[in-house]
Amino acid sequence: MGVHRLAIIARKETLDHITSKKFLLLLLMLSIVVGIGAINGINDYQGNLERYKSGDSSNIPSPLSIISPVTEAIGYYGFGAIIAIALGFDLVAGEKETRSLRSLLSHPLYRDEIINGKAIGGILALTIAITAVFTLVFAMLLIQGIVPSLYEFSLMLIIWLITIVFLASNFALALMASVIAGTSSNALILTLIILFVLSFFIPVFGAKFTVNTMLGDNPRDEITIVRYYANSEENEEYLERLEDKQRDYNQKESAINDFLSLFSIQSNYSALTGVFAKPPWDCIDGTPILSFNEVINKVWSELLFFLLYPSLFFGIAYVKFMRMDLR
Amino acid sequence: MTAERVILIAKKEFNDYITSRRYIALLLMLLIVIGASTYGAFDAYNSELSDYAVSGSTVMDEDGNINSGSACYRPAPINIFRGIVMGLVSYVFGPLIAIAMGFDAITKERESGSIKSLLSHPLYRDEVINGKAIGGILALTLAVTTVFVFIVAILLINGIVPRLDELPGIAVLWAISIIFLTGCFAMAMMTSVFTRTSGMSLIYALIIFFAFAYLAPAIAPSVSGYILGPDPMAEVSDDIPYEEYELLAEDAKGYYTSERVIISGVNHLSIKHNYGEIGRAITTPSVYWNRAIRGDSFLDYAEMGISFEDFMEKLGSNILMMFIYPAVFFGISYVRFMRIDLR
Amino acid sequence: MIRTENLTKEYNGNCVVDHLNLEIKEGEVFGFLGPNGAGKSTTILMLTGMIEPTEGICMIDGIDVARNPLKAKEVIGYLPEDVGFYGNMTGKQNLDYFARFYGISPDGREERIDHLLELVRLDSVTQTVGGYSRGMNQRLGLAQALLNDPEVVILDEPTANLDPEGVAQFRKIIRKISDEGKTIFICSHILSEIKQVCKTLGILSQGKLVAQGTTEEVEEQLREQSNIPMKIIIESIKPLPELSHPDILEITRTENRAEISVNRDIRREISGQLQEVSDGIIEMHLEKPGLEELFLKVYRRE
Repeated sequence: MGVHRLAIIARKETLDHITSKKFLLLLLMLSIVVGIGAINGINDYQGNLERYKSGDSSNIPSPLSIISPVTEAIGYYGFGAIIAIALGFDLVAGEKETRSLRSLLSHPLYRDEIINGKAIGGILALTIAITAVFTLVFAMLLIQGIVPSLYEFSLMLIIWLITIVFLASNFALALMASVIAGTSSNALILTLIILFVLSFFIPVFGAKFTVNTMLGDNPRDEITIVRYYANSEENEEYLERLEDKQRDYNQKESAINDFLSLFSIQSNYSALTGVFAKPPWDCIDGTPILSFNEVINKVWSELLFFLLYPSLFFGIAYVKFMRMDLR
Repeated sequence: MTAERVILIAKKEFNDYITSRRYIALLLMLLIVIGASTYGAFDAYNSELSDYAVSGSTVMDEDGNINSGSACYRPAPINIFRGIVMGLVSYVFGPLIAIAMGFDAITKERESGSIKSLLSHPLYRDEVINGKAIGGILALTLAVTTVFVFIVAILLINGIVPRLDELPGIAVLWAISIIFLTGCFAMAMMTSVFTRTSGMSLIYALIIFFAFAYLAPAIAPSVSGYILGPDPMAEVSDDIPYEEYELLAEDAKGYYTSERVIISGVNHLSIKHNYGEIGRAITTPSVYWNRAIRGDSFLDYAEMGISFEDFMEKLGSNILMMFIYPAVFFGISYVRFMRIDLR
Repeated sequence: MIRTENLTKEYNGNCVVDHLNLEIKEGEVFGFLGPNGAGKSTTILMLTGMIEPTEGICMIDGIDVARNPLKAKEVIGYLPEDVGFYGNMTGKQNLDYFARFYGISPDGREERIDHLLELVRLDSVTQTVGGYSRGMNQRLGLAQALLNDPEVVILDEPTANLDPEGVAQFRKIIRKISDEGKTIFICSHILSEIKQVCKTLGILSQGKLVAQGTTEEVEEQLREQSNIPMKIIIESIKPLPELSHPDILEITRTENRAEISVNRDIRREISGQLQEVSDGIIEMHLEKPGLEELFLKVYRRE
């Protein structure tokens, strides 16, 4: 694989993305949503700052709390996923439809240079988008006179990086669908179906089903009845046992939900950014600086799945593209 | 325009939809999403019923949470249908079936060149767009009916039989669910008429959907803040005398009323919000009407004496918007389609 | 210049190209004909290094295409059927993008692209390719195939979307690049077009090469394979006598005209039977089935 050829393709792809109407429209929408989130975050911050100054609260607010609505807009509300998917879904299927893929392949370059170049081009475009959005938020902070410390700024950089990986996962999913599906519209539908399976079917429906099958009925109803009629010592003991059973049920239910939500890209993103967006006074072991161990212990499984997804999707896209029938 | 030709096109479109893999996959998705939400509602219903059986009632606190205790309302089978409303409102995957049907209604024919063949035969352009619209709406009706039949079957299997007086409510819910999805379908069909490729049409449709569904409610408070200025009670210190505080609160009531009106107005732009409001009023009437009226005590819906006029007064604007949506989007699609250059 | 040995491509057990042996010399203008599904496009995809053969080899200018696809692509120019470009870029921008893969300097690229756009008469067009007509698209396709000044030019249905003027222009360009010594490989359905431009032909049917050579050689090869008979046409002023010969397949006759279907030329042998009317014979000639008719027979076989 020639780096020079790869660079030619990546450059063209990046330019195509950032000059396209769809990218600019999506970036505008993302900026609006993030901007609104940031405004709300800033208002909350300033309110908390007043309370801290007047002595009502002992916790000094952190600019990191403003990042939360930003990552919420990108992750939970799905705007990040939309922009990434919009960039990826027609990269291969679209070239097949317009017949430009055959023209391209008749020139001296390898197939893997094409798919890698497209991947790099898309990720670069997404990096530009997220950097623009984060810069906007940072500018809003500075305008309001909120200056993060060096430590807080480095955490924001980490969150920026995590956001890029999040977008890259969604982009890779759409790119994979673009290679597998025959047309770009089918690629988009396939992407949405896979997202549905990963972010809803497994974590929500799958969780409910698994909890029901493996754990049986929730002891909550029984507890209500017993509590209502509990008026003697005998029932006290029984109630205590039921409460233990409830605790055990809740723990297991939590564990099942936590495991199955690992399949959701967006859920992992929220978990990871949640860890890094913690202000210094809220860290687990009470120290002002987030330690590496702390992070790994808390979110190692989310991190694993988070890094697994883009690799998996890119891997499948790569292999499928190399074997694609060009007829 | 003749009915015969429109029907011919509508039949073909309907068949195309219901036999496509895409439709079946998305219908399955819809059933799963609604199934999961309804399962949650079913769970809640059983909890409330056991609370009610034990204490003679459930009670709703100020936050709308149900606790056991003294009199409020009796849980009813129609409460479980809240799952359908939640399923369609909480995720994009529900309305996705409607969007996925409309986004390439025109673009796929332009891309394949079949639109030119079609229009070379003796039929008018408006018959084509109307036939496609009708075919799509019929397919959506089938999807919604399938969902309702599925849910009712699950209820009956579990020995839960809706009361006779709940049947009109269920019928109305069925109808507005179809209208909701028709609105999404019409919006996607509109993007299909305006764009050249199916892929871009779907992106635009999703953008518009997200903009109306999420952006509008998200910016509503900011819009209100912009128009009315800051909350007058926010700056008030805790130190002032109680009487003064009460006076200020009284003055601020006007602000809060205006704020509610503006936020409600902006929310009306979201078809999802309108559907949600009407859906909640139908499926959880006690909770909905108690919240709406904010009286001193909580009453069972049956005892509240809510009339049809009350219903229309509270929800008339939401119902109107539900109809305006598809009408406007179809209208724009129609006008545009009649004029597009098919080269 | 182009040589294939037992070139084979199988898809799911189905043999699409079956042990193809082609030999095309440098400077030849070769026409590759055959019905849809015969395997022409698959052959071209292998020649251009876009797919790998299941068996056999494919050499272009001494380069094994499957082993060194990049090197081979540097000496090949390819115009695909239904050529596509990036609709959001102009013709010049599209060509510039492809030209970068050949390592040409920016100035060199500019010069080459301007020359090619002038050659295909797109030099004054500034709109993006998305707004091109089919003919313009096709002409840009030819320009793109000549970007690297290739030794071998492969054209798949080059005149398919062109108006008569465009077709004439294309023929002119092909003659010009042929005069430059380039080897040209044209794949087409349009026999008349191929006959006009190509010196040698190859006919593909169901993945197999059924004939290769000059037009006359191909005609002869196809005729031997086909059952289409020749015809001896005799016209006379005087009424013709009864004619008989064991090799006569069929006679259609009137009093003064006979059409005799035969598998070989038996004019000498039956001339004896015409002696009594020899002074009245206006015309006696042999009609062989034309390439069109033989070609159609190949099509019907598919």
